[in-house]
Amino acid sequence: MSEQSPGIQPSRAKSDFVIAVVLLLIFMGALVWSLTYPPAVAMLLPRIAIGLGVAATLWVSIGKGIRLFRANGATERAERRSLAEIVVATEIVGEEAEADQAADNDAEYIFANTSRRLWLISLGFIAGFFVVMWLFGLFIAAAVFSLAYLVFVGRKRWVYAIIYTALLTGALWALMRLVTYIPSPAGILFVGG
Amino acid sequence: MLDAMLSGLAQVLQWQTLGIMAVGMMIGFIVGILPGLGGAVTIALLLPFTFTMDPVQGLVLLLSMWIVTGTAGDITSVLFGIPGEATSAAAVLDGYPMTKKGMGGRALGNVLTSSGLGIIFGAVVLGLFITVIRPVVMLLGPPEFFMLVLLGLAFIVTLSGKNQAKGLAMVGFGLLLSYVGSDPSAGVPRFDFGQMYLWGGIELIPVVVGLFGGAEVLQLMLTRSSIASGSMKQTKLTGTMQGVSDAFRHWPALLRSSGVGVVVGMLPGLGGTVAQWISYGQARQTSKNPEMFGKGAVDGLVAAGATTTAKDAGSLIPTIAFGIPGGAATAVLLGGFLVLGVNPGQEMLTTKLDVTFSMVWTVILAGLLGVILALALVRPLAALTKISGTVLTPVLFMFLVIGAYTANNNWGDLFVMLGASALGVICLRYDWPRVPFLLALVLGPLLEQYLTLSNTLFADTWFTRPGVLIIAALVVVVVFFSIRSLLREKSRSEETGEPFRGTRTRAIRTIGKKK
Repeated sequence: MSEQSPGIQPSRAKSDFVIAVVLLLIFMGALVWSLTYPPAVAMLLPRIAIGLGVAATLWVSIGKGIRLFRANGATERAERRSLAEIVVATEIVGEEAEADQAADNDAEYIFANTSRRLWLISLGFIAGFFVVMWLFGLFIAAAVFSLAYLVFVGRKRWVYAIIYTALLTGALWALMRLVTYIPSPAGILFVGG
Repeated sequence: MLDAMLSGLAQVLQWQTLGIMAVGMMIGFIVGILPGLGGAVTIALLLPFTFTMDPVQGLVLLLSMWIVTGTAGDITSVLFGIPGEATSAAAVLDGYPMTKKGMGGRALGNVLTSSGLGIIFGAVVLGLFITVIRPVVMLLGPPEFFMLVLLGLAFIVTLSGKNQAKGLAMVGFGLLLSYVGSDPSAGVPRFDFGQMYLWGGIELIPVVVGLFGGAEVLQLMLTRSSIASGSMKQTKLTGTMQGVSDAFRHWPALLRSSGVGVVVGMLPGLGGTVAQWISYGQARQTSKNPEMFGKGAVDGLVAAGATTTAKDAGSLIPTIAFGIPGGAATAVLLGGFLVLGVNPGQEMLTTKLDVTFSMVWTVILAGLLGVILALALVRPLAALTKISGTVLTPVLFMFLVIGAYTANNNWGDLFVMLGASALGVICLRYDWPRVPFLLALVLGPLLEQYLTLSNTLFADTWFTRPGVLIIAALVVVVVFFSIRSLLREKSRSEETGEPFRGTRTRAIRTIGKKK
């Protein structure tokens, strides 16, 4: 982490800046929208929430923007000096550097360092599940997801994957149809699925 | 009062209810030991299964699962050095070194007994608080409750530490989303994008399931690993009774840590993750052997174990008395109260007092039984950690989908869950706080409901009610001290060159410093 810190901190400031600006746009959009409602509609608290959000996102975006600006300037100057000074220069951005190292948790590390291929595979499975569920319903989607995931991602044997899938789908069906009577999402092509 | 206490106990001791408690505890053990789903998400996932239960049975299922989660998390902390729950992380510092020294059984006996005693302490405080707070709550009306919710929000923001601006932004975002749907006076849908699904507002369950569970399951899909890779065959689990006696021998540390847990648990937004470090820090400050902390200190482990469970009981106090949840799990639990037809505040302290006391008894019974079962079944429970992430993923993923869909039986719930998952991942990846967002989403409608009632009942005279003025002063004090602390911290960091960390982390930094 310490080796990466100088590079990570400006990118953290950048990501904070981007998220704050996106939230600011959402708040501003909500503010404009709130003005279109007639006076009878209760808008006091939503507008207070918007005001709170606008103030906070401005606070974050301006603060991070200034730091990014300073960091760029400092890095440019430092580039003319030495590699060691680059580290010092960029670290002035990272007022949270040490705290971030302490708070550096597994989730942040995993999401930051997972390869694009793994991300695409995982998101692809999730997207595929929802498409199959939309077409054929929950139970078929659960079976397809489970079988495919265990075989292709989990590298389990077909027999293992089939038994696991049958048990999972069966338990899911029994839980929803026989025990709790909770409705399950039906597919557009196969209502019973 | 005594009648309600006995009636609550009698309702919990029904065979059917005890069976439900056993199921809840079993789920709690699995959730606590395995990575991924935490207490808040599991409460959300279990909520649909309580629809057909009576209030006591439903609450017993949710509470027994939740209470055991913390206890079970200590097992992986001690045996593998990996916290099963975020709130069990402090137990790693001294529990795992003891295991490596061949004292795993003693460490487990210690941490589990401390956990059991912590929950009893917390439950007793909860019971006493209910008794004491009842007359006070009876004096409060909608204006005071409005101000109390505001106070809760002030706490949430000020306790966001170095992320105060981010915390404030997330509170604003949560509040804004909580006002999607029909307004309470004219019944006109607000911010609905022309979607009928949004007329009823954004459901809490899909948000919780996505925000916490979705992000965790995606994490599991990306890592694909089990939480423990080492073998347990070499781990000695003897000396458990010595560990049990350790917990009793260090009763001052146990009492102090339980007290810290209860108090911190009561404060909205702070939560157990912080409580454990504050408690661990004070245990080190008062220890006779502070140099042993981090190397297998018995009193350090006592502090960690007691806080884990005591803070859960503490967070129930504001949830029951004022309807202000202390953290993510109690926010979902609050939703569970409403699903089960139990309204926090005056109702839970008067007509439903027996139900409230049944919760206290559940906390005590599930806490104690959980510790006994954990001690008896530690090896098979620890074996659960060997299950690989790829095997768990399909099961957890299905539960997320079902949990989200059952809120309204609508595809809209699934889209909300996916949106909340994306938000959860962004928050984890870029260090934006999730809990302020969730609590604001829960408290937003309450704020509007109490404001509407106050205006209807008292017009604009409610501002001058003594209770309102007192709580308003408290809000000002909380905000004032927070800003002052923040400015001081910042100026100190500029003087010393030490990174600025914020108010919340200052408490955590007491670790390692003896008075």
